[in-house]
Amino acid sequence: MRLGVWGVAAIAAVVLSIGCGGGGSGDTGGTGSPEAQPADGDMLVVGAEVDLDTMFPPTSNSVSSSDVYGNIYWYLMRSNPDFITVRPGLADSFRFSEDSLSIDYFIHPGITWHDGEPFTADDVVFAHDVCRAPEIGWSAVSWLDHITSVEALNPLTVRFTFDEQYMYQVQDSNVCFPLPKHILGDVPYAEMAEHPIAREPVGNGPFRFVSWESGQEVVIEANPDFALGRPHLNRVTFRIIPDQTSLTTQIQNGDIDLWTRFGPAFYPQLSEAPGLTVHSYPGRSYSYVAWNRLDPLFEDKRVRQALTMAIDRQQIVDALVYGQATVGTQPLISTIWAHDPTIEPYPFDPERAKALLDEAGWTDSNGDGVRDKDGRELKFQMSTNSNNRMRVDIVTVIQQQLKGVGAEVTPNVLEFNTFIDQLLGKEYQAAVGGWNVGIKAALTSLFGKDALFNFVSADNERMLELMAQAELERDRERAKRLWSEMQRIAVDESYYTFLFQLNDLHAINKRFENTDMNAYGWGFNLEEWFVPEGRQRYNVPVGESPMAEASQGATAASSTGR
Amino acid sequence: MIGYIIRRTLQAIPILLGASTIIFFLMHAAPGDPTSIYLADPNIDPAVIEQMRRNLGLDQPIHIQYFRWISSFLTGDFGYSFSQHRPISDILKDAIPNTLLLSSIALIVIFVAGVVVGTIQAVRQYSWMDNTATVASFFFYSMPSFWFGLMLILLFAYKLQLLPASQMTAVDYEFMSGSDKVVDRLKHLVMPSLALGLGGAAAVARYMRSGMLEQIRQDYVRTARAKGLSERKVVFKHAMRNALIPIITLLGLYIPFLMSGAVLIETIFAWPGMGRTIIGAIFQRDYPVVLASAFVIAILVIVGNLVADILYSVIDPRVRVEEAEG
Repeated sequence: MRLGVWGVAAIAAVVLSIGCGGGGSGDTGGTGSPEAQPADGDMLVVGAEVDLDTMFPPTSNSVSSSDVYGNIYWYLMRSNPDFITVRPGLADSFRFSEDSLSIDYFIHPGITWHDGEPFTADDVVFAHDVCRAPEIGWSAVSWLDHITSVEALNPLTVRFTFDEQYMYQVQDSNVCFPLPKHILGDVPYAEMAEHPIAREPVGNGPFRFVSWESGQEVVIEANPDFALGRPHLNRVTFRIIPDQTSLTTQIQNGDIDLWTRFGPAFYPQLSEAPGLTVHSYPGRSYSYVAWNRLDPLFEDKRVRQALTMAIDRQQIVDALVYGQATVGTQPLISTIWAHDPTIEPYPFDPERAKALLDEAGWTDSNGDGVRDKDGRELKFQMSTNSNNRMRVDIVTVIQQQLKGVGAEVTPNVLEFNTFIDQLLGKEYQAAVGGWNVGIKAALTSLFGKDALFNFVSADNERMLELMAQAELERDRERAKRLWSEMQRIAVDESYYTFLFQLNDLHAINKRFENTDMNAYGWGFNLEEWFVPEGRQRYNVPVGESPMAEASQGATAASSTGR
Repeated sequence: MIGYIIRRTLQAIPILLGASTIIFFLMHAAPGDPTSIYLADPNIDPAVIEQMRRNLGLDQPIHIQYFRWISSFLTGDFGYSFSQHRPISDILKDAIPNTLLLSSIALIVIFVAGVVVGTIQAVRQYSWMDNTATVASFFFYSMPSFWFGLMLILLFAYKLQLLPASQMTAVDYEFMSGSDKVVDRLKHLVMPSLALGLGGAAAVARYMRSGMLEQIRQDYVRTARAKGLSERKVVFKHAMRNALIPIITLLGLYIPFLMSGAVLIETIFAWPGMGRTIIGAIFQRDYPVVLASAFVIAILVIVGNLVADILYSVIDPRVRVEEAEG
């Protein structure tokens, strides 16, 4: 077991690599008919609600951007939807050293940048220098903390060395996208974000950049020279359409082919629309009610437990989310490996809730329908942010439900930044919010002592101990047990009421085949999507390869622009 | 006249500076800052947020930030957008022409439709045309433009599929022939400019109708008729010219209105103009973009008023700009 779990992953990755590359075997889910044969051509039109911020990966903070540049730039290894195992990207395979303190990645021969320059191990080394630079301010920089060096052993082999053996060695060496050293090598870090490459990326992946008109559209096309085989689609156009009514109209009349991450309110309509397939799976975000323990109302955990049991979360899921969510049980949601499926959600049980409140001393002594204790009534404000319609509705439903157990809720709807300020300043009473979570098991930021986001003021000593242990634990099964105990404490303490884990919803036109969408994202295997010959709609050509242009005397780098 | 324009321009400078300064401090007084976008992920390292603040210069005291901003602003450097990661001059260069295209078409809709309908109504007072137009103009006037826009989309893009629902061009615009490109552009303009302009056109029609009715009853019109001028000449040459004077004031007022009114329309029709830029920037606390866009809109307000004052003198010989000023 010296190799640890990643040794197994490495072997699996090599096996997987045989199946990848050519792509389009047609058996990974998708929309339809088994007789459909993969064919090149056609265009995918994606409706995006928000414009991109930048296509320079280290300074980008927008999902719209990574939806696009994630197909232009590739990692050495790409994650699987379980976020534990990986599949080949630009590297075919990897190997741990004897002591598991370093990993060698073996780059697939023949990969080039989109301007024709070869992609080498030096680009990986260079990118890690960029990602670490404070001038860049990369938001995931802490993922590189355990990496002590990145070195090019030869043009096709790159070695990552770590200060210790731990669970995320492969993930952490695949979060910083390789960058073209031949273009950015001489650019000072502070100026990189403004370099033309941030608007006209030169990548190394299956798709290459064509054009970006701010607020209108971004176009990428198949990279015909991709050494792992060209993708089937000729083009992918991302249309920026901020209005949801417009998006609903356009996906139904065929102006756009794919609407990613649409709101649950549109689920009933789109799931029944002819010509559309809706993909729905548990996503990486959850909604919660946070109870501020600094407020005397919520000091007693019995009150927090009782209020949790007084909220009919299944009803909220059915009525407001159209069933496209799972009732929450614990802080680590199902996309994280340390999630414990054996933890049962609190039942909806108003009678038990009332009994618990009685026990905690909250009774309706003056008969006005609202419980009280020591002269204080169980009346409080529940804050949320106004730009999230669903949360505002949730507060209203909770207001009704809590009335049933004798608690009076006043909705307090705030502008987003004001809301965040109130949360972080612990100046709220109760709040409905949400978290988008990463792929690692981590609770320190939510429940750790003095942690920025510990706005519920959690201070359970046993939890703190377990956190410290779990983060050091290298054996995944033992770590799982520690995380599980920690979560059971969090559930018992009920600092939060975990409302639900929201599904990711994507609607796509039925003419596309082999569309595998999962927790990794809607574009999990975009390079393998295709439209069978007879169903193709757009006749858009793929531009010439830079090699051909170079031989005709055209300039390389910038000519990929249009 | 030239002297007048120069004087008005000089007067605008303190107004613009004052407005920008107020907006600067208001924006910074609002809760949150550009790093708030990081706060959706609980696992973000607070040290990273601090680093971002330093990189963006937000760790400096507010007066330092202000002097830094105002000095670069005065030298013509609008700065750099936090959220779009590019120079603001580039952002404005993209957005302003798009907004101007949409607003100028809408302005034409407002004034041409408004003046024509209002004149017809006045000349044929209490006819079925007048009554229909009155009902229609109250309908359009009282309707919020965004709702009207959505109804247009539902009818023309979804049900009838005659017009594109949004954006400036079709997805395969790049591969169209020259004449198809022009047609495509025009098709994309129809709904947003109607949604933006019809409400205003209805208002102008009301003004025009009452203005014309008032003029038609004047002595000079009776005189004109008495000396045997054709009805056409009486209406268009004499009465209309006077009825247009208040409309010119409206023109000056509508220019900034079109900028702000376009915010919703630009969002609904995915039109990449100033309105969307400024709204996006406000929500992301992208201070420099908000300031620069507010500055541009302030300039348009001032220019709009100036244009209206100058047009007065063109249309009404009694008004001289020098007098208009006093």
